[in-house]
Amino acid sequence: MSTLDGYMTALVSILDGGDKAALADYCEANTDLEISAVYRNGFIKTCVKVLKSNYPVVMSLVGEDYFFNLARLFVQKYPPRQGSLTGYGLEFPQEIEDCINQHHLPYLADIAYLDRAWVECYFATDGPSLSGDDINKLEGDAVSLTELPLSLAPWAQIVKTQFDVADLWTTLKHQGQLNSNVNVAPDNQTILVWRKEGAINLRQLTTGEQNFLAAVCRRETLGTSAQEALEADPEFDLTHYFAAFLQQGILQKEQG
Amino acid sequence: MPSQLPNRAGVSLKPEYFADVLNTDSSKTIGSGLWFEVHPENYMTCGGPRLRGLMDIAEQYAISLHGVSASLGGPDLVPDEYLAQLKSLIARVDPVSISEHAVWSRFEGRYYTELLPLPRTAEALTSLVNGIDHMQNAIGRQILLENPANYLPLISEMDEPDFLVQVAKKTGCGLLIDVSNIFVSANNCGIDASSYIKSVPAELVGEIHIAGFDPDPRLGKRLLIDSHGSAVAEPVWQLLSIALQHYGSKPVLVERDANLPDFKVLLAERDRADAMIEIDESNMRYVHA
Repeated sequence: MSTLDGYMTALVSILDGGDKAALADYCEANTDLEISAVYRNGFIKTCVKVLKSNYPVVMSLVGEDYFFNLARLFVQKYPPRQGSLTGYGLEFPQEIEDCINQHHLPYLADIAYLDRAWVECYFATDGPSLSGDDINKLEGDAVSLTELPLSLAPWAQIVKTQFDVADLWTTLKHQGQLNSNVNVAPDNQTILVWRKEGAINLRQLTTGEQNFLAAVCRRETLGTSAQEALEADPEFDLTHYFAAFLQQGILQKEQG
Repeated sequence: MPSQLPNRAGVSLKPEYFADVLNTDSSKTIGSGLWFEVHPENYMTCGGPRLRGLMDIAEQYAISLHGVSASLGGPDLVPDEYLAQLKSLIARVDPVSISEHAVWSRFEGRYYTELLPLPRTAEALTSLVNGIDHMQNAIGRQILLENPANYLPLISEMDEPDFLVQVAKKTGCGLLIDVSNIFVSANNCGIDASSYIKSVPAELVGEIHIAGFDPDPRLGKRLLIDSHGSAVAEPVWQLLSIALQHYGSKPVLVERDANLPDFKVLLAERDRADAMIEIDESNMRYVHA
């Protein structure tokens, strides 16, 4: 091992929470090795700050101190591997789900998944969504609408939750705190999160919408998606919901 | 010189300031030579409002990309994925300057988020030169290299100005002299800040940084932390004056990354720095019209 490798190994050991003694070989005599804590502290602080930014509603719900403990453990298990930290913490919701015996908040993972969806939608690629004009053009070209292949736009996400957390998440996201009690009960919800004109939106999907968009996520045609929606909900109003999806800009024409 | 920034003062640009910048009467601010610097890592996204905001501002103002994660002195070359993201961002915002740090931060596939110091040895110099060569070749342009803030006195074979000048001469990169880092290093490691500044040839300097620092919560003023979280301290303004006297007119950046003040407060600091630079109208040709 070269001298440079030895030094880097010694400093990285400190960053990982290890012993400081090995660094003495690379510092001038009588150096206070406690100073090296500045790097360890800075590393943890930066990672926790990014996680707070990416999971703000989780942070609001559990408080700064508890969030710090959750985040610090996460950083040890999933340290950053990329220079850009904008998407850091992909595994955080799953980790929260796995450690329910520690936080005793059964709906906390649902909140984390919604935070994650917000981040994914916010930083997703830009591009054209399927519009009413596109549909009119297809009709003009005598292309069967039912054969139109669809896909969900990258700036839209579907989150399945085990509790009715949509109202709680929305309140905390926009107000940062709860001004009144919000009841959270077990309830399987399917929530659409999407970006439109720079803003992130969220709403619960009906059974018909869920099935329609599940088919869209499999890149099925409009006809197949509508059929699956109607099988799940015979009252599914395709014209109404399809117009809403177009207005929300969450559909794209599947290429190829 | 690899930087085409105007010899005027700029400020760190954060998304929190986008509305201020985009709503400001740009005919006044553009005329003032104002420019902005961002960390490219915060904009290495597929898309979205943050990237869009930067692209909108880049249409009106000169932008500098100041990287923090390339790990140029590290054991591994800058990852291809990072370089691809950087090149994509360069294509989108057309920066007039790109800079990085004379440090390392990646080790065995992990990114440690800190600007970790290099010992100033021949071995570290070779590692840093290789890293810079790789990056400059990949992006097809020269970069500026910033001196780090030092907290630990590492056993070294040369002083920092000599180390950086050698690196610049071997790679063709320019230097970004962070006056605050020199002040912090002088406090923490006992170097002479004025001598440091005067040891760097003016022709290598493409940009100057000034920023706030804070005492370590545990060790107090014995250890100053390059926090970028407070206003520029008076001793740093004095060092900036020395630097401008020695280097001549150079682009100066007021860095702020934490405890963000009102945009007007930051602009006031910027205006103080700008007034210290000897204005040369010929340098204004690089500012976006």
